[in-house]
Amino acid sequence: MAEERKLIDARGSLCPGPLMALIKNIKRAPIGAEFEVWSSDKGTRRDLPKWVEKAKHELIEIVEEDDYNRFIVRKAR
Amino acid sequence: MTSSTNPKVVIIGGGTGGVIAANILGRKVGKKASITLISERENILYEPDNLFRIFDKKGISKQFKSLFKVVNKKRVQIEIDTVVKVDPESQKILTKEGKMYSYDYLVIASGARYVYDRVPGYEEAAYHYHTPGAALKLRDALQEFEGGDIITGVSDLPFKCPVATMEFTLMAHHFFKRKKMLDKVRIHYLSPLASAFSIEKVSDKIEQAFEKNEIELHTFFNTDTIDPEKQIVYSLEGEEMRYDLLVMVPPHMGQDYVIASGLGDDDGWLPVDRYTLEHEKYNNIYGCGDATDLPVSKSGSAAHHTSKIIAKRIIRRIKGKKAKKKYKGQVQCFLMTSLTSSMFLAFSYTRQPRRIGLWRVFGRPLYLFKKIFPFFFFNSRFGVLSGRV
Repeated sequence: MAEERKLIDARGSLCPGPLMALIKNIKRAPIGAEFEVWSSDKGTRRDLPKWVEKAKHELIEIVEEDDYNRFIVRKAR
Repeated sequence: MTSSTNPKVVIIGGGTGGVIAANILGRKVGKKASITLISERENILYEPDNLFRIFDKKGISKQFKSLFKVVNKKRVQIEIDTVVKVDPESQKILTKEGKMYSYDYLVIASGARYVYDRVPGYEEAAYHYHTPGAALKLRDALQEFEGGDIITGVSDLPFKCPVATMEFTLMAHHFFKRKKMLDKVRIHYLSPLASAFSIEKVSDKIEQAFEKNEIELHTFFNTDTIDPEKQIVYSLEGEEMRYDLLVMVPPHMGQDYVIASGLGDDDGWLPVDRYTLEHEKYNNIYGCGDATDLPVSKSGSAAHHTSKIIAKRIIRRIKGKKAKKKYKGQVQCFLMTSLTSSMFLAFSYTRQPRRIGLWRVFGRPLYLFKKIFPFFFFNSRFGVLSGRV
């Protein structure tokens, strides 16, 4: 369990802003670090899970809020 | 003459955004406010022409112009110095020369810097075109290239001018076509995204051009490290690509003094409101263009638009009025589709380009306009740097 989950509030950013923000943060984070990406962009729902799968990290959960989604991701390697 | 009680505006950065903001402020409130521009360098650089330098035979001197020729010296005090710290509480700026400047309004327009060692192996392995000198080295490397795999892409996020990587790729293809070497050269384009570009309509056109020209697109490839001896780029996603020639955008960061002053994030990008461009903690500090964490392209166009909004907001505040102008994310840019044709793109926070077709018809005129654009850029009376357009 990560000690602290880093929030990336990318609501209002168009795709791929939220995904790029996640990649930028995950790149220099230690293994096990967790991130919570908030995105109101529909493209993120399509691209972020694909990237997490390709990069072999872990998509813990997608939470659908009223006007945005929360993506919980763990750096797995 | 301004008096000591007049409002003080300091602009840090003598690039596109800093010069435009300084000229507008000088013209509109230069008699009732003190306007100071602090720049590390005496010359302003027209960066978009770096791409042309790779493929032509010209020198780089015409890409530079002295700040003293493009800034209104009667209304703006120009200081060539390096800022080492800003104290937002006391509203003071300390420079390398040991000078102290106080401000009522501060514009941070000091852009991005290249931190080559941020990606292991980059400095030893990669060519790039983000400085005029680097573009000339790449020119030589392309002239001497005898064949093999050329890898193009980015080394880190975020980076300046996202279209430049696609431009280089398509221009390099045209260059080798002219040299009749396409049978010996394979060009690979590494995209950090799920597609070639972030805007779907543009991406579709580029991917069509890549397919037609047999340029291989590799998506979701985010550079992790480079092994210069084995000539391999390793990705965060666990893939690897071998190269004979590596042309890669260098890693970017914000300025050191932004980090040292506690004004930026860990990478030195200034957190600003995307509409007012005011710093998230200090509403008398404005972030302009590349220096910010705005969700738009780091580009001369964004610097142009944000600097005008910032200048107008500061002018209103100096006049005791409510600042109204807001930045809506406007960015326009040319995208070279070969050595002799170009597209023109315009978008904003809420609007993707509606129509970018007909670029095969207008490609040549747009290319010619891009070639003569430096004249409009540098013209100090009516050009981009004057802030009048």
